[in-house]
Amino acid sequence: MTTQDIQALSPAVPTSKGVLSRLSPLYGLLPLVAFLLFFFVGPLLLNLAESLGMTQAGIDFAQYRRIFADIYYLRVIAETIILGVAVTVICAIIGYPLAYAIARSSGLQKSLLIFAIVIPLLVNVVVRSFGWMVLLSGKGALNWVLSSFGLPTLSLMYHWGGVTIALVHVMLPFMVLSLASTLETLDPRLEEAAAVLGASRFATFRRIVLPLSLEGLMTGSILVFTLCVGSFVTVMLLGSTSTMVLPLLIYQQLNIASDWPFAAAMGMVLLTIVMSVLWLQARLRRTKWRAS
Amino acid sequence: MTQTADLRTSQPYLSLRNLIKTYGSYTALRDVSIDIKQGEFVALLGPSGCGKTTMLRAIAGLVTPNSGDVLLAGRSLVGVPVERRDLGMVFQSYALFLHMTVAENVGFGLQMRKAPKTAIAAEVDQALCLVRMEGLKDRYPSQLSGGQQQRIALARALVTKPKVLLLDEPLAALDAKLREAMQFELRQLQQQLGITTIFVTHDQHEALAMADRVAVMNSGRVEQFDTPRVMYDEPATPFVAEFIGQMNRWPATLVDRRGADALVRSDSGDIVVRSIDGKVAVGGEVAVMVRPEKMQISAGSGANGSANAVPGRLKGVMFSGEKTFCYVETPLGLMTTVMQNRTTGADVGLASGDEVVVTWRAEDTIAFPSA
Ligand SMILES: Nc1ncnc2c1ncn2[C@@H]1O[C@H](COP(=O)(O)OP(=O)(O)OP(=O)(O)O)[C@@H](O)[C@H]1O
Ligand SMILES: [Mg+2]
Repeated sequence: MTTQDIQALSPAVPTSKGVLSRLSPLYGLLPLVAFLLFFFVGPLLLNLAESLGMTQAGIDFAQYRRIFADIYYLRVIAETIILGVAVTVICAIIGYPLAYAIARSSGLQKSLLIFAIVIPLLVNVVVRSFGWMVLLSGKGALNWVLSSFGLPTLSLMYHWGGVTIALVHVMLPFMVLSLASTLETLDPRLEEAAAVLGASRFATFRRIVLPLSLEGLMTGSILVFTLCVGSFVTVMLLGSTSTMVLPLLIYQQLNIASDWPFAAAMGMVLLTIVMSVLWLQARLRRTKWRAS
Repeated sequence: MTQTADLRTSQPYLSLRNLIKTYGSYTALRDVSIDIKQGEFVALLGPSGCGKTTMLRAIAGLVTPNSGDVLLAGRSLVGVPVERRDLGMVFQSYALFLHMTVAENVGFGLQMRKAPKTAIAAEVDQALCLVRMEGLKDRYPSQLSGGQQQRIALARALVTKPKVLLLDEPLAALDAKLREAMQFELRQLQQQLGITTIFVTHDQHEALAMADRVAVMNSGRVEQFDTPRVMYDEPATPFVAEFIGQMNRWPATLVDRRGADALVRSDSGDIVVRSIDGKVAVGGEVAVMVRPEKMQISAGSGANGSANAVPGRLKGVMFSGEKTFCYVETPLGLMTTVMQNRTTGADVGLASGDEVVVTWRAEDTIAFPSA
């Protein structure tokens, strides 16, 4: 999304007009730029300085050495990334059919489907996570149903399973909405043409629908992954010490250990993970077949 | 020529039997039944929205008819999924795959049939050659003109050597010159490959010139399905008569039948008609029709021995290259006549305002019962 906005704003062909008039549409962005400088870039730099211990003399990488030398912290980083990837992949798999149904429906049916997808966003994330606790806990609704059928109960609560299920529920709307918006632009005739040419349903999806909706899949994935590796409430409520992720670790260092430089360093690591995913997306986004 | 032999076999290759398709309360196909022979080139002609595309889609399996059957080589296609029908189709909007190059687009059908890579490359080259697009293999559809896109869509449909080729206005985006060349080439190609083809067009000249048989559709019905010549000379319905070519038309009343001929009375005396619906009773209202090129125009007021004559005043002469149109004000309304300009500098020898007489033969006169 952001890369698109920037591309749209940058003048592709320099005109003979003066620099000022060419920049004029950008004037409107000045308040936003000021806001970002003051409330985002500023604190970020402070955070970076904090993590590098720059209040004392010189730059000190000690906090980063602490993170990368300890197998425990490395594992938390790895598991945070794995959780993000897993939730993203599950959201994509569940989200595709839903998004396709939305894109191909119309009228009341479409409104209802979109409403059904969006309505969870209206409920506070704490409440939703609490709802999952009620469902998944040891004596929760799920296990009650399972045991009443004589099936073995599941211990999803305080494990990755429960955390993943709850996160997928929270993130799904973002994936579905960005997928649906690109699928809507896909001409149904293309799928028909593929079918007439002998393509099975699966081949049509793999060769036509998927490549042509890659942009939406990418946007949705970035959104879900970024929100996921930064999510805090859901993991805190449904997880335990065995499901430690970076945001929780940062929270602990701040509130319990009061180790601000260490928390700041971990914050920078988290930021780096998100930024590298965005960078990856920007690299992959080059589509040569679009009309320029 | 095996194709001619195929054409003569009485067994229909593709049959539509009582096809009905409704969209809500709207009926797009009303009981459509036609039989098409193997190797035949059928043009589908009709006004916009009459159901031409719907008919092609029903054959391809993209639309499920409410009732009726589609038979290919004697076997019902109902229930056969689209991808197993082995048909070729060019969509009205081309439906090219935007993310694939020209070569990938054309090769797609062969790939789906699991053809080896080298064979695909060779076939693709050949197909692109047929549509004169050899040089643009590596372009993307967005880098092609409308006409070029249309030709790629045609190559993509042809390359799998389908059992039936369904073409939805495949030449509509081409300029007149290229279009004429493509009409000829498409016809040649179709005869060479012997592919049974249904060709939708808005252009009646294209339909008459290219097709073995023409089907004229009107609001979901096939009004007539016949050879171009019969279609033109012996239209089955007033709609076909007026839709194909031009017609002079005026009202009259049937006064007498004499064998094959009939006498009708109009505002300008009696007219002898050859072809008339047997159901019309004496005293019944009819619409009389005569094609402009079947009418002669001359100075004076004599009938010149023709069965039918009507006097009038020349309103205008329009020269249009190979033809000259004359517009004559008569008691029956404005008549149009057409003359071929056979010799250079030929002139009708008449001027606007002249008293003239329009004459024509009984066998060129058609009458339909008035609706
Ligand atoms: N999916 C649909 N839903 C509702 N009505 C439809 C649908 N598809 C076609 N129709 C209607 O059916 C009728 C026939 O449509 P069709 O596309 O077959 O016309 P056509 O003869 O191909 O016209 P044209 O020459 O403009 O392409 C039209 O009146 C159209 O509005
Ligand atoms: Mg159409």
